[in-house]
Amino acid sequence: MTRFLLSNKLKVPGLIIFFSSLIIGLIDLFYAWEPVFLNAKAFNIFGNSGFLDNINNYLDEIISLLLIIGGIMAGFSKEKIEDEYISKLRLESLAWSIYLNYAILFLAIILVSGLDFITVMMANMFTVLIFFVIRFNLVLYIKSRRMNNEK
Amino acid sequence: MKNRLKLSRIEIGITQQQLAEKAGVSRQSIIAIESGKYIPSTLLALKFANIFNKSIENIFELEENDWKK
Repeated sequence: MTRFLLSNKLKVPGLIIFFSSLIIGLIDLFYAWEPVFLNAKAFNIFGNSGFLDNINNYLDEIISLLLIIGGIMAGFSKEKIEDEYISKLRLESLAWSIYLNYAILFLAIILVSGLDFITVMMANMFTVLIFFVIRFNLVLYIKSRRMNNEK
Repeated sequence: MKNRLKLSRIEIGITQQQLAEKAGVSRQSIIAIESGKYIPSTLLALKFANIFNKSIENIFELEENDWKK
């Protein structure tokens, strides 16, 4: 698995990008915050002109891209000492987050419909990564605290 | 799987951190192995055997339950 991991130097910047974009994303989602300076013509590669007729606010797109970049950097950067036990913890966290994500989606399919379901689907694009990053780093934090207590 | 990693480590008088450095793993791994929460790979088990100058069977031992898994 180590072959596919990023440098350890990217972990802290990844966590900063991930959590700041997550907070801004939640503010955007619940308060519909749309800074005017991010208004521009909307791209659409499938349209004739390459643009849609209406104006789009690009905050959503920027946050989405930062969340993906930050999440991958935070979740898939090597630890300072990356060994087989850390790989096991990472794999377990990944499996756990996929189970949780699809359990939530399973319930949403049954319990949510209409436009609210679109919101659930939009959130679902990022929840696997969000659950994984939070769970993996929480497990590492708990283990390191226990380790410090054993000194 | 029963292991005598802690005992072997104490026998040669090294700390968990020193053993981790010799084996090239984190101290968290040593703690998890010593407490029986994690079974190391063959490669790591061989490294331990080499560090302690013992055979693997002297450090790791199968238990009855391992056959039922």
